[in-house]
Amino acid sequence: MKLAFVVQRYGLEVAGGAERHCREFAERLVERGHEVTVLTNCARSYVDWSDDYEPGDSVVNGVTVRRLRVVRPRDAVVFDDLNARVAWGRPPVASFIQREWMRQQGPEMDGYEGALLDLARSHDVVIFFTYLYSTTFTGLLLLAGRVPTVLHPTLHDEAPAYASIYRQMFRMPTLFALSTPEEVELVERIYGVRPRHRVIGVGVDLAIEGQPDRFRKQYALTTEPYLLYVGRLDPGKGSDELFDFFAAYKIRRPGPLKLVVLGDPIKALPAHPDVIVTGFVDDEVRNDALLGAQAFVQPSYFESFSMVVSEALSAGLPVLVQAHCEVLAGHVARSGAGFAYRGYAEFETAVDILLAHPELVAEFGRRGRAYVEREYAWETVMDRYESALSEAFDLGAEINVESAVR
Amino acid sequence: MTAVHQLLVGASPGDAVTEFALAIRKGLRAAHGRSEMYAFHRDPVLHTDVLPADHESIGDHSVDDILIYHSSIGQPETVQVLDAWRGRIVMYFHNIVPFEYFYPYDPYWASLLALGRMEVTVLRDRAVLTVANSEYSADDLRAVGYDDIHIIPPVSSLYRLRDAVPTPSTLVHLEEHMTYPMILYVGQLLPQKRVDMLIDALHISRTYLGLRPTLMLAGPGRLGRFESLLKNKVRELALPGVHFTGHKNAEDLAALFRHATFLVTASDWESYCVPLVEAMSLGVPIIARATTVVPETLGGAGLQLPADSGAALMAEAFARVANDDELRLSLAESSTARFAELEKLDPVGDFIAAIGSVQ
Amino acid sequence: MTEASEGGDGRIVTELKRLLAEHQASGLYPSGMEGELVAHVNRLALGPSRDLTDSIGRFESSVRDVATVDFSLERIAPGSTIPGGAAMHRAVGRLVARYIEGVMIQLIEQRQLLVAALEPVSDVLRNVVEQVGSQRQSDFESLTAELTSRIDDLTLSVDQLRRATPGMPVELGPDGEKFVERFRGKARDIREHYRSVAVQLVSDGPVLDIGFGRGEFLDLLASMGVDAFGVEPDEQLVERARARGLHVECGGGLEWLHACEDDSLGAVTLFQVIEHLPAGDSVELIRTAARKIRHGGKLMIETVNPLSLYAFAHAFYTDPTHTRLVHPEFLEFMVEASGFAQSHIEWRSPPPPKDVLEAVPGRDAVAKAINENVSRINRLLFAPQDYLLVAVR
Repeated sequence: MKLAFVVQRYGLEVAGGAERHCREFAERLVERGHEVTVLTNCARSYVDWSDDYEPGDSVVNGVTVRRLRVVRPRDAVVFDDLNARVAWGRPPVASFIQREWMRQQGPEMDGYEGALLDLARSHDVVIFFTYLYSTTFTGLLLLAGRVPTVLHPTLHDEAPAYASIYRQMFRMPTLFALSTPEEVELVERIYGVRPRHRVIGVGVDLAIEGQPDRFRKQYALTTEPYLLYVGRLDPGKGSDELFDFFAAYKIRRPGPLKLVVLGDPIKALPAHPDVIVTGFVDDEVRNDALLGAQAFVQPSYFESFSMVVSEALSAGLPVLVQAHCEVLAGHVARSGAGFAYRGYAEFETAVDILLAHPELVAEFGRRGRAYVEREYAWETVMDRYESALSEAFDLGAEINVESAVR
Repeated sequence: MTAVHQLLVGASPGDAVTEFALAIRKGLRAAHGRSEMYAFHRDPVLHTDVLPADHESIGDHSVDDILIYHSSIGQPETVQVLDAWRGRIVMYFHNIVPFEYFYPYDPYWASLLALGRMEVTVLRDRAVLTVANSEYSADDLRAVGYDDIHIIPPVSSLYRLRDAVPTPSTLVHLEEHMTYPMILYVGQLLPQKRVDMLIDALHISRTYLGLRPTLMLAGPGRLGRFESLLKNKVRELALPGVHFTGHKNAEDLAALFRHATFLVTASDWESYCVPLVEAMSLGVPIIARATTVVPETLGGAGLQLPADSGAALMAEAFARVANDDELRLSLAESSTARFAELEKLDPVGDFIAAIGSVQ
Repeated sequence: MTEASEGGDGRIVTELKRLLAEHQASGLYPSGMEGELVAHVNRLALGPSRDLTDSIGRFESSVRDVATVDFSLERIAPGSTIPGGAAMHRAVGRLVARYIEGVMIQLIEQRQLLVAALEPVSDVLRNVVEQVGSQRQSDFESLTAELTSRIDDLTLSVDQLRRATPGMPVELGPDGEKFVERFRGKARDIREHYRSVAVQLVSDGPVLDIGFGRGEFLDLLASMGVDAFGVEPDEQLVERARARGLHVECGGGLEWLHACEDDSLGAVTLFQVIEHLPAGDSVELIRTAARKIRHGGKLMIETVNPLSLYAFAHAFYTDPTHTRLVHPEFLEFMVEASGFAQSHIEWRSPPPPKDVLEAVPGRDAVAKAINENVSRINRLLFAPQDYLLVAVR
């Protein structure tokens, strides 16, 4: 098939779960013999959408990437005020104000609509990533009914998702590609629609290799057990809460346990003798860290899939996850490979159990491996995904592309 | 000695027309003349002071007696009462809001406004003396055939707010809780006053121009549907910082004026704008759209935006005045200077003198 | 009016205009910003026109609902997933067919009248809206406000009618209390009536009482120190019971049963409830109860006795929310098929003696023959009005 992806950022250097998710799928579809074009912009950061890449076509790992210039960088003063009013405000908010919020959120791209129509004319299915941004909002509204469209909303339960402007958008795509069964429920709960969908998930690398000792040496660790957190240091991701819990745990249970934190600080953590913050690291260092950890912690309240958790499971780590996040609790419930904790008391108990019962840690590791092998082996995921794309294509077969795209 | 009575459609304390009529009556009585006020609608507070406008209470009168008719809105009985009046009639035209503004919200009110314009035309040949509240209103009268028109603004007390002691608790509240700039609008919340444009301008100045302003809308609603429209607008714009204060007494108003960064009006239509005079009496900077009577009232004072300007230009003005200390100071000075000119006028005295000329 | 004399300083106005043009050109402002804001005021000024269309839509769909409520004997499904259940259904059906058919005919007539009365109303409304559409907006608005409230009233009454059809909960309004007192008896009498039942449950806590009504049975259990919990769909009743300190929740019995842990309940009681339920629901309710009641626990169902013509005349039709009668044998069959170990029937509420045919005095053959017939007629006409099924898990 000839497939087009539309995403708010794209590139090897771009951080962000949804963006990486999109790139993995695009590259693997190329490997499977499909022709893939990605329409995106030149930005690496969503904070200001400033142009970092050159505009025009390039090929990244076999995928044709078409970059448009961002018309205006995001104006933080304007956007933050509107965002506080629209995303966090009390409904009803006039729809023209919501559209303006969307425009200020961006990325607003030069010649986007024309480029999108061009793409639609020459491709079988157009696939949008992430519900939040104006690329998806304007794009879906433009293409709906003209070509088969697939939306990966990567939705999580956050305030902006409730803006009523999305109710219309969530009725547009031909097919939804969702990450988890929990996401299906969330879409229905927020938008009152149970659309045609497939639960696809995200594949995970089953062969995680590395040298844990190399990591220990680099960060002056000897034999101390450590909990591992991978992700942005951002209160929204629960990193503050994790720090507080860990600090409290160390007071109540003095011992050698450390917390290792891999990720860019949006908001830095306070200094703590048992907390090691590495900053952003490459995959090699991350794998080294994963293989040496006692357990993996995911404290985030807002996740739509959590690739880091599936990687940790693949590395045979027990996982401790935030029970308030339905998606994370769902992973734990289905895999049986760890604990979902709600509040400090449960966190403490879970850590106690993991430290005291190596046989349980091993059993959790086995179950986690089995779960990701069963559900998230790339081959399985891509088989599911290919069949979903064919379904979308078949569903859209009645659309006369030539007449619809003028 | 001839009697000089006054006929109003409605009489209520605080209303500019009523206050002016009371001042004239006081002046006439001081000169030992007979003088009464009649009104179709009387606020209970004035029930003993103002008489009902019917044949019985107007009663006997001579052909030399004078009835001053204050024209500001129509009333179905007006023409009957004036027909029955055998004496002379003085027309004081306060002007009448174009009925189109009210039609979408209150058709009955709109029809009274339309009727008021008709009355003015009908009464033309009976008026022995014609007074208009402004040059702008005089033009309206000329258009329907009046000539020889005196211009006297209906200002009875220039110092009402300057003499009022601002409520201390209100001042403290404003200082502690209102963000800068505090933009003040004073007046009824009516469609022709374009309060909606003020809200839009506030939205633009906040969203795009970096202000975190407060907008105080100080005045009674009077037209429920328009008032709820404004409230819905604020809500649907998700706009913080807009306050509907309702009717305020002189002390609270004085506090609002003293704390205000500037007074604003976006009104499409004014025949005489009292809040502008009040702002000038306290040296408060003014931003106004230069529509209808506004340039005449302000003279050289205030930042006057073109009559056709919209919310966006007004928002630019908000930001500029809020951020430019020097400009704000010069606007305050221009207010004070214009007030000094107005102080030289003696509207009540002028009016009584004009009556004397036909007595 | 032309550009006014720019008092103050014309230079500033020129500067502001230049700034505005810059902000528009840079894309800081969305295109057509002022137009959108003005359009917004206009939309708000138009007010409730959308609501009117909405209201008419709701009204029409209510009328459609009433028209499609399908009263027919065929809808009372004779099928059953239980072996022999269908045969039992048919047998019971034959037994009460005449009565049900009589009710059915009346209901169908009532529905036809109602729909015939309501359908033209929506035509009139649509017409009015179309005509008004050509008039001035202002006239339109005062009219719409009035129409909207009238339509809401109508919709309300349609809703009430719909709810009054069998099987739907009925709002009895402020007279509900009086109704219950008159037809079910005063709370004190009812407590006496159930005392002998409550005694059987002293060691069977926790008890779930489904459809507790005024909560008399819960009161009794509480006075005996039995741990009990009630659910009831009527919010007002729930509030009142809660105010007395009873442990109660608002909702449907089936949902709450489902929410209970398996084998966690000592007893489940349904007094004068099952005759309000559609057949499918009562079957599911019994099956679910069987799972939730622990071994040795009890299920108690009290309902109107269909074998009593007296009950028909008095108990059944005095409550419009009664849906169907359940034959005691069918119920016994059902509970045993659902996994209860044993069950028995207790006959309750015999008609008052003054209503029952009296035996003639004497011991001769004639008197004997007459009395035998009297007692047969009594059995048929004046059988006890209720029966209580007690099933043990």
